[in-house]
Amino acid sequence: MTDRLAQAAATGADVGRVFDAVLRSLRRFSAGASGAVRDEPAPDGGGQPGRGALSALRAGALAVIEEHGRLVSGSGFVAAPGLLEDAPLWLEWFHVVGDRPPEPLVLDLDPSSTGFYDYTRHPWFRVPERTGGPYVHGPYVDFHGTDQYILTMSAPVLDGPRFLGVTGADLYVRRIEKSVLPLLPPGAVLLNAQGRVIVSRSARHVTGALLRDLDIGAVDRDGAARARPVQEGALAPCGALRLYLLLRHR
Amino acid sequence: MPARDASAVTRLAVFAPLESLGRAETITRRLAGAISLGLLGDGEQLPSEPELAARLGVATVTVREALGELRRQGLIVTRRGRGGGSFVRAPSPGEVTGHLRARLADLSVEDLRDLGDHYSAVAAGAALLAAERASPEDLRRLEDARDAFGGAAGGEAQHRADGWFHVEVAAAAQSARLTREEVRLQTEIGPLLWLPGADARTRRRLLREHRDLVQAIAAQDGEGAARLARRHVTGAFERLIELHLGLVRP
Repeated sequence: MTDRLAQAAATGADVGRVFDAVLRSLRRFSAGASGAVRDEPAPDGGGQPGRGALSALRAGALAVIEEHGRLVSGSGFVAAPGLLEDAPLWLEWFHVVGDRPPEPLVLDLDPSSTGFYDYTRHPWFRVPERTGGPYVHGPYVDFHGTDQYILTMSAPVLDGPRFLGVTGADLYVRRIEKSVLPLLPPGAVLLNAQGRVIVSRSARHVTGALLRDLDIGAVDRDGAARARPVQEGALAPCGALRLYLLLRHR
Repeated sequence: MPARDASAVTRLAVFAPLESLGRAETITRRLAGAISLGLLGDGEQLPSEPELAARLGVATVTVREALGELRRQGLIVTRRGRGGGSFVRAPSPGEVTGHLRARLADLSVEDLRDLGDHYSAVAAGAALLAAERASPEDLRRLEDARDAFGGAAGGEAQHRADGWFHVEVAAAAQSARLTREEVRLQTEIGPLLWLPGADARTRRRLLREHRDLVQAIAAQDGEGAARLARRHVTGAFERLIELHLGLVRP
């Protein structure tokens, strides 16, 4: 068992590096976004910046896509409600469709419209707002946008204690598999905090399946975040986000 | 030689740019659906051609083609010059109903039964998988959508809330394909299915069926959920077939 624990921990660390690299880019983007919003003069010389200020963030979003082209299909900045003078909600998001260069994603952000996309309800926005930390949401079927099975990573944009919004990145699950599957030994399964399978080297536990009885909390219980024996095998953390590697009993 | 010609034509289609394969038609159908559902209101200005192209992820010529068709159908009008653009010309509720009734009368019972079979296969399959795979978070979203239907006032709001509920069931199944198929079927036959209207009694029954379905999914009772979803769809098609039979005078 000690061997399995060590193997789970090592694999978890390898997989964690894949996601942490994207998270590092997002944090850099967040720091840049915070500066851009802070330094931008308001359109009327008053206290709040306008939508125009956010066009400066285009480069940051494109950098995240560029640095992780194999994994990331879209990235952007999503403003806290009331941040901007001239729009209650706003996002500056770019996504890759086919082989074309990244394009701006335009969503219906008018609260009075029937197609209103209220991003403040989504966990990838709400959790960083509440905790001040990064978050990974999904995998989920993104029927508002890409129509694909994706994972969304997000990091808060802060000015001291003030929450300005989040930066985020969309990752197609099928692309995650390309990067992660080569790292997985037989019986290894990458899971989210709910026990949902993201990538698996087991045909019996396929992507999207939910391992309901798995005690995910075992890894975080004493705050040490290290590999733990669970009923199904060995469970280890994967980097800074709440992702987990289960190495099943042989 | 005909065989050779056919093969040449087929080969042309194989290497045709993906852009042109039915994209304009898809956009036409989607916008026409949105206009007849009232999602795009009378007199509302559509985004410019380049903006629409960016939002829909297609080339500008594809958008132009689609707008041309909508103009022919009398669903938009285009004004040139300053303050110009394309504007929605919504058909009156009477026109919409008349159009839908004509379409319903034109279909056969066999068409409707087959559509119903297709829809119930998708809905039952999605419900079965949702019961297997829904996380507590998915369940909360399902409950929100169920309650939104209960609280929706007016036929149009009910129609939308009902659509949202069923898309959430498919999304809880973690299947991008089933979710897309659910959305496609709703776009294709949703307006027809709501044509018989929902009186207070029907509405209470639909609400009860939604509640039972969420309960079966929460209880991880896949077979029960599939049976309920199937009955839900079958009931809707029975009402539709009755209406069709009433339209065709002996």
